[in-house]
Amino acid sequence: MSIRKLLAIWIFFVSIVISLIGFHSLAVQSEIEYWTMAGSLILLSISGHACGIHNYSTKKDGKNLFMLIYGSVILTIAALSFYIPDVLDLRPWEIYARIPDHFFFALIMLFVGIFTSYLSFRPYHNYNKEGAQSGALYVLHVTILLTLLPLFIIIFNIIFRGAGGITYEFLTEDIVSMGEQGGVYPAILGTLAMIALTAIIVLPLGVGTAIYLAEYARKGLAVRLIRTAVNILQGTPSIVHGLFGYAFFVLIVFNGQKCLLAGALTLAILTLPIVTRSAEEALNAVPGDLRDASLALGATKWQTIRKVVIPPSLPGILTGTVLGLGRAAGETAPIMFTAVYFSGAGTPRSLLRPVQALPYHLLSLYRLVGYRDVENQAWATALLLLIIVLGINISAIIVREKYRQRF
Amino acid sequence: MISRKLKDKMVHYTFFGIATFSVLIISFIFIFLFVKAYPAIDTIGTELLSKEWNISRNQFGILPAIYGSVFVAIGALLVAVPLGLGASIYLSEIAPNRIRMILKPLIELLAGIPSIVYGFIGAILLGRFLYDTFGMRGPNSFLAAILILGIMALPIIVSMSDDAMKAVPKDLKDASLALGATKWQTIRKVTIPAAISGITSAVIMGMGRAIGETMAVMLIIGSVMRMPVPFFNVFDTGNTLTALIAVQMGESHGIIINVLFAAGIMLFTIVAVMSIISDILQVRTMEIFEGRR
Amino acid sequence: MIKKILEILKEDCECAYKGLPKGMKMRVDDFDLWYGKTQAITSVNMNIQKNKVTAIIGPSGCGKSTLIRSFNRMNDTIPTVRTEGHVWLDGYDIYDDTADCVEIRRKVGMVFQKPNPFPFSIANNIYYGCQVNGMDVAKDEVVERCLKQAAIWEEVKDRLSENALSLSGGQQQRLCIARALAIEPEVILMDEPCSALDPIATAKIEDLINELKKDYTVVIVTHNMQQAARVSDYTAYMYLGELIEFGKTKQIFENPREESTEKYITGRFG
Repeated sequence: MSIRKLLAIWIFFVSIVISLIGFHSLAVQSEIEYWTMAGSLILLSISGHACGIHNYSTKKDGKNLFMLIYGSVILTIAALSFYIPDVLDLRPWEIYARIPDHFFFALIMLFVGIFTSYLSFRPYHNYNKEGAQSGALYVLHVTILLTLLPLFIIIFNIIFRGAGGITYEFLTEDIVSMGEQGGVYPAILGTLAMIALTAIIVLPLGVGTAIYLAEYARKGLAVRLIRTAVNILQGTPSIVHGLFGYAFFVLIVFNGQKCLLAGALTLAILTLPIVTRSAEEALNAVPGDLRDASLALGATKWQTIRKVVIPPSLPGILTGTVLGLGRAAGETAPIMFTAVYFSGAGTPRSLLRPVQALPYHLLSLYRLVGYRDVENQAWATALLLLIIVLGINISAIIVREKYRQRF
Repeated sequence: MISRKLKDKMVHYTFFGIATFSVLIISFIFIFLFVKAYPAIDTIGTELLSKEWNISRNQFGILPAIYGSVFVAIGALLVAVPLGLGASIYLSEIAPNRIRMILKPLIELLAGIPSIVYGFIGAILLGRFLYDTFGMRGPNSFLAAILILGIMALPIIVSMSDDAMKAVPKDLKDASLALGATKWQTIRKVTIPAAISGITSAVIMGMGRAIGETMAVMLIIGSVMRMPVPFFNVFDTGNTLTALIAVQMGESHGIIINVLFAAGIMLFTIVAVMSIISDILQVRTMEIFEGRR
Repeated sequence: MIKKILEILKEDCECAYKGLPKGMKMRVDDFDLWYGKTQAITSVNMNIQKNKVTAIIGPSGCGKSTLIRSFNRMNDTIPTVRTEGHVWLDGYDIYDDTADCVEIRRKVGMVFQKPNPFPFSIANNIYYGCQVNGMDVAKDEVVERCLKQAAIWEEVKDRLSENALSLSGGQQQRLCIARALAIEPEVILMDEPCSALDPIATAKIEDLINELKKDYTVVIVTHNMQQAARVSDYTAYMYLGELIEFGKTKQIFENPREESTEKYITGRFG
């Protein structure tokens, strides 16, 4: 282990600690003093200078001056931050906000820390292309961690704050006094009824479309049109589905009555492209020679599809449908104007009556937060919704991974 | 008994009929939105695109909402694109298979969390957090909406760009490695340029999701029908097309409903154009590689 | 340049060193390779002479492509691969723990079975290798030299900025050879370079190989025995992952020692 590598590892270690201090201060809003920040940066800068001087003394090359120059840059940053005011008040610029100095200090520590740890790979690898590669890979590892961070924050918060609220009563009792007391039984039933109905409506449509696209379609205008329509439908915002459901199903088909069926129809339109796409993918995964073999034995196209193509692609089709339903179970906007009532809808008794649903119940509860004592109920509802939706998705993903290596 | 051939033809046409449903639905959506929006377009006209919104004075300009939608979408991309690209490069090119098999489903789960839950978390945790740090007028702000939308657009960008980079043929990557390039040089100079249209399409889809997102934005944007001052003020409150529709729909009647449908058309058109562009880019990526042989 | 690299190799990774006899470029010592649990190559020993063409022949699935990919450690890109034994290049073991894969691949160029030009312009395809290796050369000169060496200059000199995918299959393959030449390798590996080409394009590539051996050491994998007989000086015959026979091409084709080799080259195989 050469001195060059030891110095680089030392710089990496120091800068990681600095970035963690910065991150911690941002996350829990603890205040950083100027000298904490400046001191750590000065330490880093001295290490950078040492590294640069050592590198240049072993090999007199412009590249080897790099860490020396960078060390001076850090020192300059530390010196300049002395002039950051205690509180940067933005109100003189008509922006109603104030930024405290410790926020800047935390940001500086975070970014300088990450950037320096990234740079420390260069002296370690003697400033060659290997060094550029290791540095880049390190940054990619940081990004994947940052990408997963929100997932963990969201899931842990919901579990810890919501788990206490999920009791037997919560699951089985009626909604009492706008959700402040009682449970969410009607909302659970409403959501389940809605997605069951959605599944019944969307399965034949989605799978039928997929079969046409995968098995019958030739290149042409009609097919191009259908594919574009499916793609647009997939990108359509859920609130637009809600508007359409209100304008068409509620106002015209059901005479102004919000109801379970209208909601299910709207959700069916929302899930149609998801089901179609994944079913088409599953059908396309069946090798072409199987079809040829069946046709060569004198089977008609429809017999071939029914007996040879559909059975092996069934798991894929089901997975797609279930994923679509997972999305439908969590949607609020499409049912808001078509199927649900604020309160008093009760358990679903008829297809033509309004219902209550979990996502909408969560919205109603949120609107009462601060006015009534419903926050715990809201967290519990959020957890319940998450369990249902993620449970559906996880089961679908497990089925998919299990049957993936069929061909 | 019907002949097998005739039966086969009938089946064919049945499936064709089912397949046309999607086209039918799209045209129905457009027609019905237009029918409901027509009174507003007829009586208000181009005033719809002004920035004055005042119900008691019969002013219905939705420009602040359009601006808000675009503003939060661009902000969300600034958050999501660097992170998403890094994560997708890691997933598709660097992660060992075992880790990839865990991370890809995890990121898909991130996409599966209902938007109302994002909104709830955003309003309760993020909103209060930003309020404590920056002391704005209240917990709602563009900044909160941008951060939440960035997180929501991440999984789409990650999984679509991952697919695009996985689609780059392995022999191209091998050719680059065989020339003495490092893995990172190969990624930067071969894989990313070859997958660039797929990645662009992923970014457009992410932006589409950010523009079309309703529940999460509605809870943290503040729903104030006014342009932010100055125009880049992320600490201000405002409105988006989706939040405008979702909030006003339940409590309005008369011409406002028609205005909301006009806003819906606006939204639908923006997102539809984006889907079409993204789709064309994706087809192009495939053609580039399939056209090779 | 080469001396400098050797110095760096010696200094930085202290590779195992073993002098090779004069005229020998590479030496394979008891080399084994596994894909997961299946053994694909079993104790192969062979020598590759400098400025000669060595052909590896054998029925499909005998491990000849795997073997040639071991000569520049391309198998490292497959996660389940495990190897044992040594491959010496100029006396340095490329399978030593401290060996630098990237540097090895710069010295040992490779042409693949399917033409795989990058979707860039023709000139950029050639220049890519110089770019990633930080070679300080004039782009125009490299492009012209390599395209001339690969005997494709006359056909493409007016369309250097066109996308390489617009070339025909045979032209693409010669472009790939030119691309491999740009980084001044010492050994060129060719993994069935003609299997996707028509007879006329194949003849052009074979002429090219004859030209190339003046400056480079060439190893070629082929399933076409006539081709091996036409272009190579030495031939190795592989069967089921083992090297059955290795010797001068003339001897292998006219007077094989092993029964299995004779069966294969006379077409009475299986």
